[in-house]
Amino acid sequence: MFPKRIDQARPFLVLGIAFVVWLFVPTLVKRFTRATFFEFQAPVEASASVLRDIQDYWALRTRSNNELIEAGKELANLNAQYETRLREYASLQSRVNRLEELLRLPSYPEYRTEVARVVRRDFNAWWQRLVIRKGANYEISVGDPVIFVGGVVGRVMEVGAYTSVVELVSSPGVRIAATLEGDTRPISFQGGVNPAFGPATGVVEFVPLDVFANPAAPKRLVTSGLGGVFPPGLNLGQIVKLEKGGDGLFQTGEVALDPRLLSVSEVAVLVPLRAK
Amino acid sequence: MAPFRIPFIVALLNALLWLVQTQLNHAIASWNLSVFLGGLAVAFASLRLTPREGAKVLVLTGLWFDAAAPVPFGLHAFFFLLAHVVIHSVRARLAREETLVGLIVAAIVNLGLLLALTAALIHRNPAPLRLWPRLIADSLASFSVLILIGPWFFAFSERVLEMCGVSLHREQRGIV
Repeated sequence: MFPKRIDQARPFLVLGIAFVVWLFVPTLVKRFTRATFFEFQAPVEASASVLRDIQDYWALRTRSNNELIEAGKELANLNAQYETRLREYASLQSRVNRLEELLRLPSYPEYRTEVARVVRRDFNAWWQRLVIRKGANYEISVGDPVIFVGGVVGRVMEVGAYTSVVELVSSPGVRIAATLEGDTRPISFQGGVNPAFGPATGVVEFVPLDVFANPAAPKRLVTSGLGGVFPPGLNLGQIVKLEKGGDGLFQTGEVALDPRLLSVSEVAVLVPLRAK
Repeated sequence: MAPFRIPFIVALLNALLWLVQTQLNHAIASWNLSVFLGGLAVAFASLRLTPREGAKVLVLTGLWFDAAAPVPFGLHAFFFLLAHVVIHSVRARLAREETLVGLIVAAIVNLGLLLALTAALIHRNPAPLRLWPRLIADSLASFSVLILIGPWFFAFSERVLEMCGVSLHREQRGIV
């Protein structure tokens, strides 16, 4: 029988021993356990997402015929515009290809666009992530860039059999090589603080001293293409504040990200076309 | 009673609580707000089950939370077990069958877990000092939701266990 004092401390001792034992458990075992739990969660989340879609469908069924006719007309307009754009895009692409051949420039990596529905948004103070309804079954792999109508969403961090996890650009752990629109000098972008009831934000570092930006005259920040993950020219956000850094050689600043990022429900994964 | 029956049922109930939490977070994501309800899962397992059963439940629940979060695998499980051990050391002095006591314990544990997770993950943030207003907002939102759904969760868990042939009231008083 333990004395009373030791007896009271016994649960803490057992916890300490369990913690030390856990540290020595092989990483492979931990990864396998994590993947197992993740794959158990995936159908639960996907089912909830499908139920939400059905709910939306029945909500839309309550709309009147006149509303549907109006929506159809708007869609027909949009389709006509997009068809014109597609023709323009094809002719521009052939010009780019011709110029690349003439100037012997290295071509940008090509991507296949995989549109995926958002299963779950998980935005807290520590991380900002999305779970999407496509995974290894659509050849999505870790590191693939993800975009939406407002620009960059983030990159794929985990891939399951039928779902993937996307880390958002607003997540504090994300760093992207960026540049100002119309400029070629590289700037470092990092996800930042995400205040409650406000849009997501990021921070920029190594901004040249001759760049000025404020909320009245923001500067558009785009991906630079350096690093090879994101294609160049994708919208990241607007630099709304700049101040001189500690070293006096560069500026640091704040980036306002697209507010639609917080309610995104559909994204496109850029799957690189790899040589088979 | 099979040794893993009660822990398994309660772990499933905690998985349901996690699902409620994730769906709620999905719905309020457009306000840049989130809730965390881990304290509720810990409070029920620590107050209503035997220490050993509670520990089994919280390991499973912690690993379930860990699988969905970009944290070192086992972090939630460790914090849940730590909270369990602390509750275990004081639970003899608590009226642990009372819903109000359960809610107070859940709220305190939830706040403790939020602070512990913040301490473990704050190094990732480029501006840690500016994180606090967001954390306060998230804590308040979590507290509000916890107070709202806590009584339901305790009652629902007890009812499910009863339907599975387990009466916590009888087991706690040593009748079985």
